[in-house]
This record gives sequence, C-alpha cells and structure tokens, in this order.
Amino acid sequence: MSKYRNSLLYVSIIGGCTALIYWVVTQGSKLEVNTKAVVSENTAWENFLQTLIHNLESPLALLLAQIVTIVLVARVFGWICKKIGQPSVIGEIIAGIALGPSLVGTYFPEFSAVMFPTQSLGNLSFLSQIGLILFMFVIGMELDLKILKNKAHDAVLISHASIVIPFALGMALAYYIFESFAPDGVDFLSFGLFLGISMSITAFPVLARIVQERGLQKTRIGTIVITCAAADDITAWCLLAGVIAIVQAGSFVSSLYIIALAFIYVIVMLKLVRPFLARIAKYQGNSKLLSKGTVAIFLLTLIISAYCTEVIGIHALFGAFMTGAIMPDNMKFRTIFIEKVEDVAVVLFLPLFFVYTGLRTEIGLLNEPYLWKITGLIILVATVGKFVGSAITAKFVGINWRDSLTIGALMNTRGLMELIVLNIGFDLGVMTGEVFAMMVIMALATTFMTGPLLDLIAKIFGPLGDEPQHKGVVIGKYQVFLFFEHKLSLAPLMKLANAFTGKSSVDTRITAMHMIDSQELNSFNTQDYEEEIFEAVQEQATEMDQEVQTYYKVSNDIESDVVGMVHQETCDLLLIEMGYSIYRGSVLGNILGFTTRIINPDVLLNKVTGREKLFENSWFNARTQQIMNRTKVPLGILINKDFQKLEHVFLPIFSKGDLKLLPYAQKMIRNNDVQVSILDATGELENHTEFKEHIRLIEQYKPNHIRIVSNKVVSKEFIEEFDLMLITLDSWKKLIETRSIWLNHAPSMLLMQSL
Amino acid sequence: MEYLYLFIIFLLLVIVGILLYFLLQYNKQRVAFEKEKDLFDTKIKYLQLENLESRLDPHLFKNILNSIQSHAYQTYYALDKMAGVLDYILYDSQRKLVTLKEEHEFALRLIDINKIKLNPLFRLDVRSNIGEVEALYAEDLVAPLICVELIENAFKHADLTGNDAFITILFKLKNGQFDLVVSNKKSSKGSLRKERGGYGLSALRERLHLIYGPYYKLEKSEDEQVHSMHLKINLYDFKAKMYTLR
Repeated sequence: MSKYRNSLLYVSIIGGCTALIYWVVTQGSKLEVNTKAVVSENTAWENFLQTLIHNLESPLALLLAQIVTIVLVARVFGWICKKIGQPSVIGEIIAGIALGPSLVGTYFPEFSAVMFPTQSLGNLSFLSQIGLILFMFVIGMELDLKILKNKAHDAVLISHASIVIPFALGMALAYYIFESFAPDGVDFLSFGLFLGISMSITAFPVLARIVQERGLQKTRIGTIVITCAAADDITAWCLLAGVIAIVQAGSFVSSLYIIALAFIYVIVMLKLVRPFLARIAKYQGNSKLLSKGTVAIFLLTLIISAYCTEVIGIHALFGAFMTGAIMPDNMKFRTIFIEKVEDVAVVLFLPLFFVYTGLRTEIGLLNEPYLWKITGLIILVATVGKFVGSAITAKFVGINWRDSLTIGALMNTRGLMELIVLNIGFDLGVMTGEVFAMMVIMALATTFMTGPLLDLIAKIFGPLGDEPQHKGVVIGKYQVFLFFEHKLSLAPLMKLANAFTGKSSVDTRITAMHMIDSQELNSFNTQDYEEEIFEAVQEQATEMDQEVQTYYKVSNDIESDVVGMVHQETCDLLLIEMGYSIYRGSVLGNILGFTTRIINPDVLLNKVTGREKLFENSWFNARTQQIMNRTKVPLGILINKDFQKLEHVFLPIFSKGDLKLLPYAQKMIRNNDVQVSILDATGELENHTEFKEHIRLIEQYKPNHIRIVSNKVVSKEFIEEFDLMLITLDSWKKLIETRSIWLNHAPSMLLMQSL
Repeated sequence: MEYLYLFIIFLLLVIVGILLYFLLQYNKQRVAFEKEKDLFDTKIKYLQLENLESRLDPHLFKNILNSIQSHAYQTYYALDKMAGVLDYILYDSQRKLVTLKEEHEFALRLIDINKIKLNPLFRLDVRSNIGEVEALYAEDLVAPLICVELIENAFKHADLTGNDAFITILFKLKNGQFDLVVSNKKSSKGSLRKERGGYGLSALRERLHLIYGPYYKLEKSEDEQVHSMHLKINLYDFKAKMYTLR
C-alpha cells in the first residue's frame, strides 16, 4: 500500500488544486463586466510568429546570437591557421575582418544587416571592452617582473632599442603621410606619436606562444626573447599611457597634468594597493582554493583601477594591466587566478574584440593602388624598424647572427596587442578609417611573417635553439611509447610497457610522452608544469626500477604530434589510455555527439572525407579516435578498471586476427612471468597449427604459464580472476555490439590495434 | 514300554546326529564361501590396481607424445622452410641481382629455421619497416644472400640460453635507403677459435665493395654486452649509377 501512497498523494494534490483553479477561473470570469477582449486580427499562428520575430530582434537575443556566431567562426578560422602553422590568433583576427564589411558585409549585406545591425555594435563594443580588461589583467599577471629584475641588462637594452627605433621611423613616416591621411583637426604631434607607438608594439602573448610551440622556451634565446618582450610590453604600455594623455589633453603642456595624475596613480598602486593585496594573498596562501570573498576583493581592485585610469584619461586597459602586474608574486596564487579568468577572457570575449575590430576595418576603403602602396610602405617601415632594429641591437650586445635575427623576427610579431592600440587610436579619432585599415593589415602581415621568417632563418643558419638532446637514434631496439594525458594514467601505462619490454634497457626502450595544448598553458607556469611531469615519470621509473625516457612538448596539434613522433622514431608499440566520449551511449549523445565535433574540425574533416562514418557510434573521445585513425604502428588502448597488478592475463580468440596477440602474450610471459589463459572461443586455434604448436612449445618450456581453455560460456567467476584482458580492437567492438554480459565483469582491458 | 523309551532315545540321537551333520556341512560351506569372497576381493583390488596402472601409463605417454609431436611439427615446419630456402639458393641466387622483396622473404625464412634452436620465450624481435611507397622494394637491386651472413652470425654468437639474451633484426627501407640492423647480446665467454670459419664477414665485405662500391656501409658497434651490425645500402643512388653506366 505504501508503494501507492505517494502516487495517491501526488494525484490528489494536483487534481484537487486543478479543480480549485478551474472553479476560481469560472467564477472570476463572471466578475467581468466591461472588459474588451485584447484580440488582434491575426491568427494564432501569426501571433506566434510575430512574438518569435520580436524576440529574435530583442537586443539580448541578438547579442547572444552574435556571440555564438563569432565564437564559432573564430574557432574555425583559428583552426585553419593552426593547420598551416600559424598562431591561431591570426585566424581569429581574420575571422573578425571576414565577418565585417570587408567580406560578409560586401557579399551578404542582408545577413550582415540582420546579424550586425549598427545599433547593436554598442553592446558588442562594451562587451569586448570588458573582455579586453580581463585579458589585459591576465597579460599583466603573466608578466613575471622577477625575470626583469634578475636577468640580462642586455635584454632590456635590446627591448628599449627595439621600441625607440621603430618609434622614430614611425614618426618619420607620419611626417611623410600626415598631409594626405591624418583626420581633420588632429595635430601632428598626436598623429605622429600614435603612428610611432603602433610601430613599436610587440605582442607578448603571441610571441610567448610561438616560442613555446617551437620548443625554444628553455633555450637561451627563448629566455632572452621572453624577457625582451616583457620589458617591451611594460615600456610600450607606459609610453602609450603618455601618448593617450597627450592626445586627450590636446597639447604636451596640458598633458602634464594627466601625466602627473597617472604618476600618483602608479605610486598608489605600487605602495598602497600592492602590499594590501599581498597581505590578503598571504592569509589565503595555504589553501588551494580562493574564497569568494578574496576573489571579490581582487576583481574589485581590478575594476576600480581600470575605472581610475579611464577617468584620469589614460585608458582603462592600462589600469587592468597594472593590476595584473602588481598581483602577489606567489606563483600558485597567480596561476589559480589566471586559470579563473583566462578561459572566459580568451575563449569568449577576445573573439568579440577581434570581430568588433573587424567590423570597423573596411578594407574596401583602400580602393586605389596608391593606398595599397602606402600600406606596403607602412608594413615595410614597421618590419624594418622592429626586425632590423632589434636584430642589430642584439648583434651589438654580442649575440650571434642567427639568434639576433631570430630575436628580430620574434619581436616583429604584433598580433592582437597592436589591434588594441589601434582601436584606442581610432576611438580617440587620431586615425581615419583608411589608416586604421592599413594598420590592421600591417598588424596581420607582421604577425603572419614571423613563422616563415623563423623557418627561413632556420634554413639558412641551421635549426634554432640549442641542439636537441637526442640520446642517440636507437635503431634496432624494441621501442614502446606511451602517451599520457593525466598523471593518473601514467602508472598503469608504465606497468604495461614494462610487461612488454622487461627490465633490460639494452635492447628495449620505453618513452613516456606528454604533450599539452599550447593554448591550455600560459608562459607563466610552463616550466613548473614540465618539471612536474618529468618528476612524476622519474618517480614511477624509480619505483619500477626501469629506465624511461621522457618526451614533453607544448604542441599546437597534439594528435598530429603524437602520430608524427611515433612514426619518426621506429616505434613498435604505442600505448594510450582510452578517453571516453562524453556522449557515449545515450540517444541524445549520438545526435549531440555531432555538435561537439564542430569544436574539433579534424574529426569533422574525417567525416566529410569519409574516413569515419557520419554517425558512427564512437566509443572513444575525439583524441583517441584521431590517434586510432592515423597511427600506423601497433596501438594498445588501455581501458582501466582499477588496474593494479599484472599476473593473470585473459586472451580470448575469436577470429584469425586475434592470433596476432600471441607474440604480445609471449613477451608478457617472458618478461613478467605472467600467466596467460587463452580462450579458444570459436575453435580458431584448431585451424592454425602453427600457433597451437607455438603455445604447446611455450607450455613445455615454461609449464603453468600458458593454457588453453575452451569454455563455451564465460562465467562471472571465471572472468573475475584475471587482471587484464588482452583483445584486439575488432573483437572488442564485436563483443560490445553483441552486448556480451560478461564484459561487465571483465577486468581492465588492453585493446590492440595492430596492423 | 522300555522299547518305546529306547526308540525315543534312538530317534533323538538320530535327530541330533542329523542336526550335527547339517551344522558341520553348513560350517564347511561358510568357510568355503568366505574363502571365495576373500579371493574375489583380492581379485577386484588387483583388477583396480591394474586398471589404474594401465591408465597411468598412457598419460605419461601422452606427455611424451606431446613433446614428440611438437618436435615433429617443428621438424616439419623447419623442413618446409628449408625447402623454400633451398629454392632460393638453387634458382634465385644464380641471378646477379634479385629484388629486395625476395631477399627479405628469404631472410625471414632463414630466421624461422634458426628459431628451432631457441627457447620459445627467447627475446627475438624481427621487424620489417618497409615504407608503403618504396618502389625500389620490387626492383632487382640487391645482391642475393647478402643478409645471410649477418643473421647467421647473430645466431652463432648470441648467448642463446642466457637470462637476458636477445637478438633483434630490423629491415628498413626508407627513401631508397636499405638498412639492416642485427644486434645480439654477446656471450660472456670469448668465442672459441675454430679451424674453419671467420671467413664469412670479410667475404661479405669484399662482395659488397665489388657490387656497391661507395653506396654501401657496413658498420659494427660493440660494447661489453651488445654486438651490433648495421648494413646500409643506398639503393637509390646505386640504381641511378647502374642506369648511367648502361
């Protein structure tokens, strides 16, 4: 009875209340005396449509739709750029320009009018400004001021020279084009200063990323460049603050008031706010989590600081940057905070800024060859100033040509920092639309050429950075590679690798690979992270008394790099842990799974080209699937079900292909004294005498280590005895499809895809 | 009257006598039965024992049979491979140059034959790394029997019974360059000098030199544990030279 009690209660409450409501409504409608029905002449369907369209056009809905479009398009363009070996920022900037009047606006004006109507740009602008404030905050935090204190007066010298030289050249250029290009009513000083400052910007985040992607961060030249860029950043932003002050005030003398105020602001930040924040951080220091209260204090500091600088007249971004830079030095603290803010700022808001910039950039304005010539001239001046300027200075302080040129090429990267400066200039009215468009093109061009320039330098002078510490090409050794994403999966994979190689390092080698997406990591914590990973691997290695090589890389495209690495070295077995597809198994997931694939266009590409079925029920996540599809070496995928020890292995044989597993079983017996039970499920062994004989032979040499069982039914008790099931991928898929119940009780599995 | 008593006594005596007789008879029979039963029991025991024995013996035989069967199979297997090897030596090696494919398959068969003398758990890794697009794989560019010497040497000098002994053999063809790497764990004892032999390697070197000239390299690397031979032939350049000479 109690089973039904709740249902009964439920029904009676709902039913009773419905009856009550109905009664009230009928009684209430009798009270109507003089009401007129608010009925429009339209039908119900038209009414509905009208509401829908109205809702579609409401500012919030429009803004949300814009964000969705922008983030998607930016990611696609970013991915394309990554594929051609350029930083994804370039793609995102180009996405912005493409969405603006230059491309979509020209060819699909209706779409443009609906998606980006002029009155909606204000919202977009504010949102992107908020994003920039957060972003500059992160940039400020990523700067490690200690680097500047300790290291290299050389770096500071190079950095300053690399600002002054392009600045001067920019001023000269301004003199040359002032008459024809400056907007009306702008004095030469403002125009010249702005052109100068925009020539001397270096994009710290883009540069840091390029340095990481090329694996230069630990080399001498990498450190120098990072330090240079950091110094450059600070100097340039200070200069910019001054320049803005001058432009706002109209003349140099009256700007002195603003500059004086700015000085007071900086002193207050350094002497009052910084110790205050540091003290808060100290009390928080122990726990890994920050309390909401602390976060509130820091974010408020950020916003108040940005507000102050905006009011003083040197732009809110400067305040945000400053706050970032004076954050407590405690590494952990900054890392936590960067993680908190960065994702939202970079993934969500930054593309908005790019598109906002793109919407204001009208390449169409440059409709005469003459204008393109000037653009070319601007690019030339920018490149010469920055590239040649820094390279010559670097050479002057005694760095060799190759490294000097590399420094020059890297410092020439302007990226999104340049866009920020340009937008400020455009807002201040120092630039016309034409000059703005030219400068945006310049920013793109200089960023774009960095990669090819580095390649060129590497081609002429030999590979960049220190010589890679390759411990000899170990041709002939049996090599097992393992790739792990989490430290947790390191131990089981190492255990497996050990079973395949044994302890001897004379004829075998284990390499543990870890790669991290360059976008997941900021320059600030790279080194710590690498050391942490390396330490974890060595710890495992010592525990197992096994020699293990480590391979760590900050990568642009992890799947390609994993596959490339195993193909380049003669790898005999690659071990990975299975990553589950988030959408595995549910009906919704099979449909939704498709949407997640848009975020990873590689997978989509495979589907389009037919390498993968469109709605294939994928049991693996995108990364595993990618590696599976592309690797040409034997691959073992571990499904970890609390894998602790390796003593008893189950090896079911369903088809001829499964016989390929025998050599692996043999290795396990030899190296780890594993006991192997072979289930001859379909009598396949009978047909292949060679294998049967091999098993018999092993049994004779090492009794009690291998046996053939032919239970037709695999019972729960039977399967639970084992530590690992070794099975080919194909057979595993078949088992899954036929929904074999005993799989539920199966131990950890190693799915082998051998070729 | 007296006769009646006598008759009764007589009758009683007779009855007792008969009873006694039957008793004795019965006892006799019982003893005989027991005797027979004992005999039967012992017979059964004996039979059981015999049965067990007869079951025990074939089992032993089965094990032995397993071994022999295994050996017989190995022999058959090896003979089969040997036939292939002989074919190659008899017919193909008469040609001046053979394809790398033929030579490769030949070498694999040779390794299979050599496997008979190995423990099935021996660490023998044979790997072939032939690029998918290597057209030179199927062109007549390789001197026959060129891989034999290195592989034979590995099996000859490896410490086949040692705990961490191994032999690794790698065939590789990439960008027109053929690599054969053969490494083995050295036996801890120095090799015994035999009356014949020691000729193979120098003959191979001479042959390589005559055929491939500057396009080959035969490198030996050795430390306390491992002996490794690396043969490199630049088939691509060799082919180019052959065509220009024609």
